[in-house]
Amino acid sequence: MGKSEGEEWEPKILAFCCNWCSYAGADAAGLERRQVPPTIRVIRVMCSGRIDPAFVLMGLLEGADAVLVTGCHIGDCHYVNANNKTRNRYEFLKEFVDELGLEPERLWLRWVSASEGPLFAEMVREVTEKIKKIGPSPLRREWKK
Amino acid sequence: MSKYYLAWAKDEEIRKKGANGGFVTATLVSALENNFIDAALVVAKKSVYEGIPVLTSDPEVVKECAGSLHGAPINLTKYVVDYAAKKRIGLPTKPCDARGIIEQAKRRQVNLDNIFMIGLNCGGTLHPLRMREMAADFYELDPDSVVKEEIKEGKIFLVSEEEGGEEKEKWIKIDELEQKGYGRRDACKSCVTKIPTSADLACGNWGVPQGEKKTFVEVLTEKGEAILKNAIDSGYVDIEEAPGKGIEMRKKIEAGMQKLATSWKERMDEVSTLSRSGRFEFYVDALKNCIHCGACKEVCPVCACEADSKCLDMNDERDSYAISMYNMLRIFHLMDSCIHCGQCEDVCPVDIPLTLIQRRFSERMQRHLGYIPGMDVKEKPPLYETELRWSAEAE
Amino acid sequence: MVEMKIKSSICPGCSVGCGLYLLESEEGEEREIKILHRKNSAVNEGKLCKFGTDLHTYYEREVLNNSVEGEEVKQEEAIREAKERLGSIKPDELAFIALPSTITNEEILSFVSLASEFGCENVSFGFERFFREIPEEASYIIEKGLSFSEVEKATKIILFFLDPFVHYPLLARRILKAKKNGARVIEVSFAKNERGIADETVLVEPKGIERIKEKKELFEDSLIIGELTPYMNSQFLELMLWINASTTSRLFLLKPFLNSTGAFLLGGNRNGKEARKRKDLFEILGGIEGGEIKALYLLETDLAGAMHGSEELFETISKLDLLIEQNAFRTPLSDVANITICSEPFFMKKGTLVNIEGRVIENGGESENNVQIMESMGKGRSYEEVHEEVKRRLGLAEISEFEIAVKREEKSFEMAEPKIEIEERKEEEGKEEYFLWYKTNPFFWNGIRAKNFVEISPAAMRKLGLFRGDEVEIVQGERKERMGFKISELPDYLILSEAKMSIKPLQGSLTRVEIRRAGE
Repeated sequence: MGKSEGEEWEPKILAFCCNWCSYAGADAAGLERRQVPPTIRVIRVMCSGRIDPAFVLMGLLEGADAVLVTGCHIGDCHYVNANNKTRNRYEFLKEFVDELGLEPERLWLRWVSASEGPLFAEMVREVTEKIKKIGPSPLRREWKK
Repeated sequence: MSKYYLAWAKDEEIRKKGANGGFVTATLVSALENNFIDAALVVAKKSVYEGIPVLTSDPEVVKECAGSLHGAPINLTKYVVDYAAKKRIGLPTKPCDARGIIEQAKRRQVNLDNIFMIGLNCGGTLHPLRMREMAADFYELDPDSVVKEEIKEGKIFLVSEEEGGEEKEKWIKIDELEQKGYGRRDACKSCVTKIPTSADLACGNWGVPQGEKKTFVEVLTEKGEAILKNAIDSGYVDIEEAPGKGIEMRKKIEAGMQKLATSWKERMDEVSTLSRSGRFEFYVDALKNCIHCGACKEVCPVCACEADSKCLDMNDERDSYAISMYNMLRIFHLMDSCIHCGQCEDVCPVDIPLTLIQRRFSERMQRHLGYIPGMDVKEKPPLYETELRWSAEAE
Repeated sequence: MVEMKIKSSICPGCSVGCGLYLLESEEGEEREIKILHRKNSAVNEGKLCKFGTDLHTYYEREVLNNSVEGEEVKQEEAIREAKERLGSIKPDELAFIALPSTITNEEILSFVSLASEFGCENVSFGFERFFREIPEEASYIIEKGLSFSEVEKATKIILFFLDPFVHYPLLARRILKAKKNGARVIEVSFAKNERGIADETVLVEPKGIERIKEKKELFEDSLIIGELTPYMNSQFLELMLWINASTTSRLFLLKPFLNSTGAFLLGGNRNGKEARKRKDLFEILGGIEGGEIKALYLLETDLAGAMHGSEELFETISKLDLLIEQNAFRTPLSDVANITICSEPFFMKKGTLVNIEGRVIENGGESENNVQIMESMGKGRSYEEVHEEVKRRLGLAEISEFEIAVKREEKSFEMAEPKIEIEERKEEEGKEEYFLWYKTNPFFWNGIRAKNFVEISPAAMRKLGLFRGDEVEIVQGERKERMGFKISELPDYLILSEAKMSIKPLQGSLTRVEIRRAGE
């Protein structure tokens, strides 16, 4: 739904978090009572390597204003090297999103470890701010009432 | 390993019917007769506007299919995959056929050891119906009276059979036709792969001394060498060392055509002048007409997915997305592998400019990756790689 | 040895008549068909819609046996038995039906001569009623279409309750080309086209169809494109003809059956007063119901597949003394037929067809069997003789798909102002009213359900409390259908369906229904 009168528009940000690092990081942010903007919707996956580019594209088509792909730092993957695949696919997605005519800020890749709660909170704030500046995604469809 | 020869068929009839001395036909016929291959995949000419692929083990059928056919823009890749994947076959391949087959081999749909690709240098093909219109409007001929066509020296020749059996030849410069929107297909106009370097042999008339009915042959692989040797040993083909001047000439022609192709590519890219949001609107606008018939995937020489492919499986027609998952995934999955053959646009029932769209997305990715699909079977598609492949140029 | 044989053929999906290649290979008992693109096809450049690309499923259906009273017999015996039994029935108690999707011109001649052999005049190709109800001078509009190049050249196109992308997908690119050439496209419809093909939309409500008559200036100098189906109510056709007659417009009606034009020209629908008396599909069914018709011969027509719900149809058919079905594939009705005669599937047939543009196109098969079956009961001519008669009657010396052989001559005619009677949409308190609009398409007429969802408005979704993945139930009296849903930009009251459901369209393709959220 779009914004109603007088209310500030809140973006919707879809975050994919890996079970072992970034999801734990998000959790840590909560435990440490860090303020995380309510703009984020988290989907937990076992590994960032499980994130098919199709999931990201579908997230954008469903109306996410930005999609955030997170996982363990390179070298720290629970499944040997699956996050290398994530990095590879992200490069493809980056080119795709740019060519499609979406702003590059609608797609993010960040490595967050389990102990980086503050970093996670900071990242969500940063993404939210950027998206607030560029506005809603043109892929989002609004239906007439 | 590259070796350059001038070659020709020894058989009088094949030499006469074939395009440039009948080398390709003679090679396939000799390979069939000596059991070097099980079958040949050739295109049978129904008229100058229509060719039908034929898979045959009969040398006589192959002989009938001799000669070029620019008005039948077929890509043979899927025919090889569907009907000849388990056979040893030989076939003439345009650069886009060869590249398609290489991509299918990377995806384990065919075994390259069994496929002998007699490559054909290619300046481009024409859409049969545009060719008919061209014959009527520019050459002032009854399209049905045209019995022969040829592309040489930058001109398109049409030969018509007049009443009483007399033949009449007319030509117009390709450039002149193409300025008016006729001539070669859009994908061909902007294609820079003119010599099929990923085939086993590369054949053509570029570099052949004027007036001689011979084929300039470049041997590219051991398989190519073997099939050529077979043709010579069985007495079907004669060769001579290509003159240095011819090799130079061929390079020059290729470079000239590539330059022209690049300039066409720029001219035809109506998206390049648009802003980011303009680009977005263009893509949404073009793709909204899609009726999800699935033909573009079906004919795609690179796609090796079956009916349960991701692009079909994740596409739910109940979704009301601005662009369908089908289109998003097809474009995404071809970013590293599209060979820009234009087959998808040819069969699109609502005329979506797919050649342009696929090219826009894939060319920038391929440039960044430093990867050209369809060239080397040992190079895996980068999307499947674990490690990032990033060209020095991109840094 | 040639190991791969590619035939050229035509798509039997609708009257556009798209050319294609077909590759048949046999793996054991199973027939395997692959559809390829014939880029030299004058009609469609090798491009095909979903029905065309999926045509292999159409051809891979179960083949029909030759049988008498359920027992498998040789074809000659089935034919002999059919001839004998048809001969024992009074001529006016006989009826012949062929919806001409897969029926060649040659077969049409043989079919008519077969009927006349038994003195029968009730031969229906599905549209007879319309010829009777309109002025004779206007019948050219039903009979003959226009070439697609005329569509591309048009400067103003009116899409009259027609979504080209759905109804006749291969027409869409011609309209897009016309737009590129500068044409203005206006749609008159219940809902805006979701692909935005029209520059201007004139939205009408079911009760507002009448009001179109006040907008005559909209149609001046235009090419009106609509469709004609056997279901359509006559008033709707009369409205189109009246608009056409009272403005300087041209009217182009597409039809769902491939060889409709051939059937009209050769089947003798309007020539002579007798022919104009012929019953149409629904009148024949009424006749069976009333006991006046006792025997029915179906030629390659899946009557159950073309109807909405088959229960009533089966009840009607059970009143027949004799049902003969000649078909390539098994159909629901062939299971209850007294005699079935197996004919060759369409792609194997030799013969010609006339598409909606008036091109006479040849099908690439070699089989003359279907003509022979009928000729052996009728006049006994050879295929060549029948083919020569087709050429003579169509005035053809040579057959070329690149010529528009059957051209139409536009005539002026007078039309009385029609009155459209559609029940008003009642806006009662507390009860929501919905109208279901069927968007017909090639799948619709061939008993194949292509989609399992309907389109509804966002408002309806909210009112019904629907969430993603939910299903809806569409109700009309006793009939109920459970379907998925899709949200589209539609008027609140409208439900669109591309799938044929058991719910009968009462007024043309529009009908009043109820809708609710389906329970678990």
